[in-house]
Amino acid sequence: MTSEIEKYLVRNWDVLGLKRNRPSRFSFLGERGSLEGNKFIFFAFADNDKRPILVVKLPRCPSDLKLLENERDSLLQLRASTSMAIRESLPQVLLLDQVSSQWVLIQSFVYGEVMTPVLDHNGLPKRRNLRKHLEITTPWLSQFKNETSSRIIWDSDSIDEHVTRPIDEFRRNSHLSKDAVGYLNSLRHVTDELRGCSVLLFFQHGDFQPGNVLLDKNRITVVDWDVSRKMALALFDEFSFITNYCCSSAERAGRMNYLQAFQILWFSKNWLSRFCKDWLQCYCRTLNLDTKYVKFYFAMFLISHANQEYADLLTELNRGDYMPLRENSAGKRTHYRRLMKEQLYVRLFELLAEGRNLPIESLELAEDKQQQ
Amino acid sequence: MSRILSVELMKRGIGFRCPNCKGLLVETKNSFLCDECHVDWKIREGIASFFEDDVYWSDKIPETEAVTLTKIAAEEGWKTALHDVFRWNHRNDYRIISDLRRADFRFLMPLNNESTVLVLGCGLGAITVALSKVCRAVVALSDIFEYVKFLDIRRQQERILNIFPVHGGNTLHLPFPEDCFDAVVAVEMSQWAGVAHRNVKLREAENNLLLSVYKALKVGGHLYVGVANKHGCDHLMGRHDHNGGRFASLRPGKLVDTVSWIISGTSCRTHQYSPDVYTRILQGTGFREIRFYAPLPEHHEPHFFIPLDNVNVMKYFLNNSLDSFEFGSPQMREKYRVLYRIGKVAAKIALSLGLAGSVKYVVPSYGIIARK
Repeated sequence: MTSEIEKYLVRNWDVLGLKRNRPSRFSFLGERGSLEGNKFIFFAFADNDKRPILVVKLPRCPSDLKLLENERDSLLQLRASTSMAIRESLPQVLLLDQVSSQWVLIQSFVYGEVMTPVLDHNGLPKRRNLRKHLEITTPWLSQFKNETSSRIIWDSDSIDEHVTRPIDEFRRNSHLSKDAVGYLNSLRHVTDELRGCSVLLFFQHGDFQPGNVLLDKNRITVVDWDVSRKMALALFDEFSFITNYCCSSAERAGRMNYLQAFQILWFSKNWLSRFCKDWLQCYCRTLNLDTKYVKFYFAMFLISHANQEYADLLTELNRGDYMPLRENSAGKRTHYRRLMKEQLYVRLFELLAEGRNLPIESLELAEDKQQQ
Repeated sequence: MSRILSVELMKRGIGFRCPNCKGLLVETKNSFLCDECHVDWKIREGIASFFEDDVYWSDKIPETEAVTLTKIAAEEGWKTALHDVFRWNHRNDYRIISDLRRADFRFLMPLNNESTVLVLGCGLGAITVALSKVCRAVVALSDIFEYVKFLDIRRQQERILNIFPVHGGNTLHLPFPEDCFDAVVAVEMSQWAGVAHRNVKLREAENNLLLSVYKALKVGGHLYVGVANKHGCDHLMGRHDHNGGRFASLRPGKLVDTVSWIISGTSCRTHQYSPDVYTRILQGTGFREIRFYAPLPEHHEPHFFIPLDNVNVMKYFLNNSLDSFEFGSPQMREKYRVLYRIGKVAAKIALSLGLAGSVKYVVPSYGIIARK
């Protein structure tokens, strides 16, 4: 395939519209990407260049093409509708085409180092690094969200799309505790409360995590827009970033599991949860969001992730990518339990439903007391 | 092999030939009879068997487990079987045994929905199944009957119509006509040629296998070989080779054989070579356009494919990608922990001394693509 792509690139160089002479040859560094990503990536080096010049993405199966189409559409829309500062922080889509019956999405390569959290001996991110990374990410995030926000009237259709359907799907696919079911019902009350009001929706990256944020000095580039959505509830990307920054890195480093890190981050009282609480509060102010609904957004964020993980799991199991685990090795022979990862967000939701407070709520209470 | 399967195979332009004399085979009720040398090749449990003696050998699982595997697969499903046999006793194999991304080398080759592919040493079928999703027909050949049977069961259970399992591999020729495959895949197979053909000299066995492959390929067809590097850093660090010994690459050939006699009671039949020797062997057979890639961390589960003909790509990888590499699971982290740490240190040293070009000589394994 590399030879075919090379020939295609050399032949169609003018179509790509890059300001550079037509290269005579390409070398391709292949990277397989994540299991959920469903794509294989080539970094194309032209002639004797020391850095790649293009990124070529190939879907694993024909059915994965829709992800590449979504990425192309999102990036084209964003490049057409956002300010120069945001445009420059996005990769440029050059082409989505078939090369020898294989679909390829060709993007410009953007140089940058992946944002990597530095952990302390407990497995939590170091405060200085977290602050530094948030100082870089927050202005971009708030500008991006402000530029892509749209105000809609919270009517039956929008409630159905953003709340009712995800909740129904979540209930269908998960075995929930009584508390969790009760909590789901209370979420519906919140939406009823908002019915008829105007609500802000935002463009959502969908996988906004440190691994998709590239840093070049203080310049930021955000890549991998294949699961982005044009209109979504507030704070999804923000929760995703903070959670991934703190929990995934701790888990990857083998210091603690995701659930433990998640509890420390969102349900405990420590410097990290206080820090994130302060950050969230300031951030909500910049987006004119009412902090009263942060817990609602957080619950919807968990539900949305649980649904996504369930869908990913089904796809992977159907493809035979990996095996399900049995409930135990000797006993039940026909019942599998779902993978830990899939259960994770269901369990996190249950923790939330058990009455654990988000740190931001405690802050609100403290402020209320001061005002009184 | 059932009559339906062999007819389907014929429709795709692949009939069987006698692996001894290349004579035409006539299908009878329970066998394929050679027109010329009159050898009767059995059809075992619906699978064509071109295997001269019924000896079980595998470095993955013992025979009893292989038999259990096929039994459970037939009775309770292939996933259940893999779980029961591999989950606890072969954890690392279980993790990757059905991961379709093991066939990601396909993105390096010009495969499409018109291609017919031969997989030599198909194992339990991860690569075969992955290729079957993008190719017209995949013939899976293995000299371990239980593996072929397992794949046949999986094929039936998943209703995959373009996989054709065949038992064989220790005969002088491959049981296929000349010029019939667009690609041949041999991951880890070439180094086992000596074990499969014990009555001929090692180099002769390897040459015979390569020549058979060359003949079976169409003109312009591609061979992919995934193979360990004799001087790979993992072997230099003392990793056990297939013969059970260590540091084989540092010993002269005769000493390797002596140690093998002491350890396993036989001479060493699983030699690995350096890139120059692989190139010489392939060119000697007639292959051209030979390209080397480094599948990292290993050819069993490649995350990256680095072309070894462009030192700038290797430098870029060592500078940028190695540090941000993420292990997909705790088992994988455990397996590659030491190798990864040493690799990172070695990369820094190589870069600072300007030796990035030499890294290709010590990568753990090679992915070699050659064209007929």
